[in-house]
Amino acid sequence: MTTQPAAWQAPSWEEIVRDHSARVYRLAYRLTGNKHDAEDLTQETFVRVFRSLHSYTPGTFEGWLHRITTNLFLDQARRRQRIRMDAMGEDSERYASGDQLSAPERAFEHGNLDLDIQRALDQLPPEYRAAVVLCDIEGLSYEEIAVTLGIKLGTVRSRIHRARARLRVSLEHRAPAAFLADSADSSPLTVLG
Amino acid sequence: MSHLGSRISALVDGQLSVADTEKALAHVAVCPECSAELAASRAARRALASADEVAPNPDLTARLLSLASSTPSTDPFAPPVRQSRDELASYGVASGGLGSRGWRGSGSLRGDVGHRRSSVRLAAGSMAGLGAVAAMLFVLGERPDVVPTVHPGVDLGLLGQATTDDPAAADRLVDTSSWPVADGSAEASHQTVAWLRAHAWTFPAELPEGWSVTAVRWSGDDSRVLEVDVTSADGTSLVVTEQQGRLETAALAGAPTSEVGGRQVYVLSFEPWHVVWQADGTVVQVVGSQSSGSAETLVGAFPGGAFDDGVPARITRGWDTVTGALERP
Repeated sequence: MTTQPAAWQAPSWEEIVRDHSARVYRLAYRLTGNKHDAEDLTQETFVRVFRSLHSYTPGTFEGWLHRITTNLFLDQARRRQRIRMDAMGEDSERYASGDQLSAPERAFEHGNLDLDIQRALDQLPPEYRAAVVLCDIEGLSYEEIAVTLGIKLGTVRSRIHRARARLRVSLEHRAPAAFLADSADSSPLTVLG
Repeated sequence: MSHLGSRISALVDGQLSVADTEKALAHVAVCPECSAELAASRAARRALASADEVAPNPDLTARLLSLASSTPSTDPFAPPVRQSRDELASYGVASGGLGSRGWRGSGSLRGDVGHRRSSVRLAAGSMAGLGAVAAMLFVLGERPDVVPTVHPGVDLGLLGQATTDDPAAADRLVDTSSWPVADGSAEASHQTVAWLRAHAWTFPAELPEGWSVTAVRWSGDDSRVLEVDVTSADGTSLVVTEQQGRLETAALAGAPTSEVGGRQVYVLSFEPWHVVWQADGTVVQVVGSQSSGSAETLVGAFPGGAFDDGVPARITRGWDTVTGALERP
């Protein structure tokens, strides 16, 4: 990677798509929880990228893409949430992107454990989901997440913490065997390894 | 030392400073509660990290690539589209977003009538003699040629900014202030349609079952292109653009034609779906993500026939131009 801005070479559109579409799609899939919405979100993200490429100044392209994708997702999620709260009155605790989960074809998209993980993710409030996905699946640091989501570092930490606590509960519920086997060998003293 | 709380997660992610990490680990060593918490937190983290890799469908990648397909060798950092005024693609891309040209009532719409018409009013006053008036109307009845632009990126951009909210569940807290008339309710949708028809735009008298207008706006250099977002109950969303003029069919020689809903249309692109046809004095284009039965029903519902360049038709159009100018407050 070259870092000197002066010699920065504008990538071709093909390079941009080739280098980044898989990453954007993966993020979109984990955020939305299904293939259809993930494709829509990915496409919408790239439309934005295409439209504003001329105003893009060299920086981290990944960071820019993360920001566009998660912000589009959160906008949509907030809109839906409001509609759902209107429609369901008191039942506003349901944040899951529901409808997709029971579709039978969902089960064939990915393996079972993966499905359990995705369902657990889908049950998180969108803001928590975004933070924990950026952290654990995209491998961003807390600082990067704070910038991406436009929130404070302390907020990042508490969202990730709460998200993990909720994930744990729902995973213990759905896939106890896999989860326990996973946690059995963990020793607190090797956390930095 | 008190329990670690959310520092557990920071510890798991290696996000604490060296000193804080030391302290936290020292606490974990003597606190079974935090130790268990830490183990569980690590497990949750690993469960997520073990999620399978998901790969995008090749179709999607192809669609993304096609965003730039018509400008393959040029600098992608240049503005995506440069257009002259009579090309439709000045479309949304240059129109500065939804709100800026939102519909704010028919008064401002009428104010948008082109400057050519004000000179018409003066001319009409000074003209004498029926023949001269007829000749003038004939000249005024001329319409510019319209060359539609085939550019998937433009189409996707147009769709990307379309208002697609299901009107029944429309989120009234956001954005709706920009188009108080076309706010999606059945009644407003009806009014919008009536207005469009009354002002000589080509539009179905009755939208097919389930369709409604979600937004109306102007685009183009001098706001002479009408954009109407329509959404059907099954979630299909289309953007209809209309412009006064004659479709330049010579430029479309290579494009396949197709019979959609009983009408001959030029198919400029299949995905996104982009069709164009002449309806009387108006060039109508419909853009959607893809062709579907309900989209075809909508196209079929449009009235209108071929561009008529005969003398009576031109005089009629010229007359419409004059009345349009006189109607101004």
